[in-house]
Amino acid sequence: MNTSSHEDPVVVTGIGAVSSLGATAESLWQNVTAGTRGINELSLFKTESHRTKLAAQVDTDALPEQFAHMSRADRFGCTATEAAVRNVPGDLLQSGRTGVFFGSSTGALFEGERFLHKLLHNKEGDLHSIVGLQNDGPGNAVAKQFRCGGPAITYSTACTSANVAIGAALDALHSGEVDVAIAGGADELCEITYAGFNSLRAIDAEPTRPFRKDRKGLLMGEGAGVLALERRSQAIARGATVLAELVSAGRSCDANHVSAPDPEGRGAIMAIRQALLEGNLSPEDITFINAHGTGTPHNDASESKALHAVFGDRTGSLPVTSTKSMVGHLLGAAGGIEAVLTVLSIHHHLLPPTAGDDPADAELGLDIVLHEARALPPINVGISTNLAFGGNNSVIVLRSPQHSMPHTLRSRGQDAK
Amino acid sequence: MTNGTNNQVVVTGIGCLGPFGLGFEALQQALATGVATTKDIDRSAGYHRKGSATQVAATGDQDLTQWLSEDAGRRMSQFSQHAVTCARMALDHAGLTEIPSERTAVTIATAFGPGGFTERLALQVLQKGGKFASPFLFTDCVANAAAGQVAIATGARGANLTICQREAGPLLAVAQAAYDLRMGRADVCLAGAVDELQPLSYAILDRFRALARPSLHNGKTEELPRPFDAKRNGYLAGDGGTILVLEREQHAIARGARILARVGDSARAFDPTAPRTGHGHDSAALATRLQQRLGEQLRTVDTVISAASGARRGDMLEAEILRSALPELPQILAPKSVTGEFGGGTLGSAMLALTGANFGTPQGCTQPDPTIGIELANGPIHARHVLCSAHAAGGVSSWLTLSQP
Amino acid sequence: MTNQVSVEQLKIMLVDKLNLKSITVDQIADDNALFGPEGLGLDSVDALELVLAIESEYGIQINDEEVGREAFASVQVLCAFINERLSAGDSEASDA
Repeated sequence: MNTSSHEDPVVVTGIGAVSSLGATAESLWQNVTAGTRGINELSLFKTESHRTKLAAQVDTDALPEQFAHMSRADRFGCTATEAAVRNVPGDLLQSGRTGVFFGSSTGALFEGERFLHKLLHNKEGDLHSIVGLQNDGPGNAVAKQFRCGGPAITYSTACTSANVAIGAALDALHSGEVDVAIAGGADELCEITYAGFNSLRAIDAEPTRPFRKDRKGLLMGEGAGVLALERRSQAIARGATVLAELVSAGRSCDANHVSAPDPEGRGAIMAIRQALLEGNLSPEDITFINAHGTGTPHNDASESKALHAVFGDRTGSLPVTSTKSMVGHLLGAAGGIEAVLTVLSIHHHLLPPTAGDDPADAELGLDIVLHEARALPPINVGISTNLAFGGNNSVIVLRSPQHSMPHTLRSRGQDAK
Repeated sequence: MTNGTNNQVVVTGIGCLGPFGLGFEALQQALATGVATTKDIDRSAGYHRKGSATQVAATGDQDLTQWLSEDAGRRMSQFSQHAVTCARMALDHAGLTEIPSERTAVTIATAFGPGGFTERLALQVLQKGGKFASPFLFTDCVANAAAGQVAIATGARGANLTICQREAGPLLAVAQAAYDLRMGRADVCLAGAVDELQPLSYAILDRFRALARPSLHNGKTEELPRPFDAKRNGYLAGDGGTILVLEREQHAIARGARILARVGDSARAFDPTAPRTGHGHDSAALATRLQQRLGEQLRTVDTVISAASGARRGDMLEAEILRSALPELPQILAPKSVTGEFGGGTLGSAMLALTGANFGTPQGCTQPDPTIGIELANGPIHARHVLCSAHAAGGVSSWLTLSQP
Repeated sequence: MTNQVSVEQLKIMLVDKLNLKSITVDQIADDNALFGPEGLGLDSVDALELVLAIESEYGIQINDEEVGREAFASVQVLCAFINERLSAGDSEASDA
């Protein structure tokens, strides 16, 4: 039951995003609400030797020059972070009380591949290009660039990485360890992951169609999504804009198979329930879902089962969308960019559609937002789910700011738009 | 969530493997000698430069069949095989034959993930083409492969976390696990670190001047990590795994578990002056921030399991921080010269110090650096309150305290 | 008819590529099911690895899941499937 929310909740005071849909969160939002896909033939590397050609590749020419010397993932992370912390005073960022909580599954793997390629031909690569090689690269790049002295930590849990990182940031704020948290993730396209997902036949050769009957796989993407988080009392005291409240997080593991999700979605069910429990929420409180929705036959099916198990009869009328249909699957950064999109959905009361012309797979029994962005009620509680390799699952819950009214009061408010 | 007011987290089991072999006893024997078991780096792939490090504390192939059948491990990277082995050893050591599935979490740190599978996959893709990528290799080449395989092998369905923060990873993982246990999210957590290094890993580390290289001393060529020593010129890379069973104290008591240690406070901070692949110089700021988190527990520390590894700047940073935080230095140990860097050797060494063990003088540490002025302790050690420290290349610092029960 | 594959060769490939540890070449009967409850304990990732091996060794692509499932019924069936495709390739070459 939704009794009381946390006394000093954690709020989102800034966002930043880099993706195939632009160098900013604004550009991303404009495109996804219009249902525009950021999909093209890969130009980062030759695709002749790969099974497919399409990806959601970032146009680095559109990025500010400032971080051009960095590896792609570092650059995405720093660019998105700069936007996210634009309105956070420098002395607060550098006070030693700002932490960086990042997710990445590639680090600078693309640059690593080029380096290895040179080595194989008895040439020396540029060492500078691989300083961010390990998965902590982007997070460390951000902490260094913005001179943060608090905790800096990287989670590398495949497709849940950034979602996990955001949950960790929430903990650090509630415990008082930090006053500001930079939370999110960055990942870059590279041949290993592209070939790897193709080896599992998990990539759709055509534009991805999550939650459709004929779905065949995912769209690989890259980029970064970052939130600036702080406790509400501090945000209000310094006059910061509050975009949304980060309520809670939940995590679990299927313990079933290395790459296939539990068919019944048991782990996802557990993670969602844990997030609700920690947020003092019940399923009835949720107004929309930003799904993991990769577009693979298995994920969408098991994710649907999980949603039905948690939301019961409500499921068929609970708006669900997969923004991966447009921005692609950012792997370690997916949780970051999807958190940004969830914040924007709450802020604008608008849920982007799941791109594609076909109707939703009726067997899934979900209310998938199709064709056009869907207007949401003025007050929202949204869930962002991520489900990954190794069966690990991570869920975060965000809601409209300053609204912790019990469900009954809120539903009256929903009728008045 | 949390029942009762007992927020205490305890250690009830440990599983480890490394260049020293398998198990807690094997680690103790190695530490007692002060000598690392090293192997020649395989240079056949042509990655290595002249004058680069030739020795590593590599775990290599060990007989894991007591813990993991060949069949069960057939598709696992060595990384995952070692993780599952350590997890099972730890649970056995803890006397936990059945874990509370949904209330058991897994938190593993790794610096490099599965080095072998990643390299093999990269070679397939770069040399033969994307279409030749092996699904086997891909599914087990991610950094969280170990944590995932541990969950599958043990049935642990709670949070499954993988932390990548290089040298600081092991302490961050235990701190994270302890936090989640105190929050009541789980009753048991398998926490620790696993790493698998390959010739390519060593070649890259060496290019960043991280590793101890062969050097001439009194007419003899030596290649040794020398923590806090005047002649130090890098660390000894190694791999392996260390997994602890952490439990909420109530849970351990209820099942009559033997408690090995108590997990105390932890601290973490970042030094923006650190170069991306090295150590920085703002020890004052780091010391201040780390101390703020530990408070009272710092006063009772009698033994330090130090981050010192032979890294030129890193050891100096460690010394500066320790002197600042603990003006009366307690006894200091630097076991990474025996266990190698990576693989969680710090955790195993801390547990040995608390349960009582012999620590030999690290080989080659004959000339303490006068600007550091720290002489390492040796002989029988029986610590009551241990401070573990770690300073990752790239800027992250971490502390963790462990005490006798 | 030039290159044809024997069941023996396929069994060796299975054990090698799938890193089978508790099953030897001799223990795999020609008509042994590969997948499913009666099978060798293989899963979908093993199937994909096998598809890759067949592609690499023999140049034969299996892009359809259905086709794959049928071809992998047993070593015998797989052998026939591969040899049929190899012959078809040969006859195309000889027509050229």
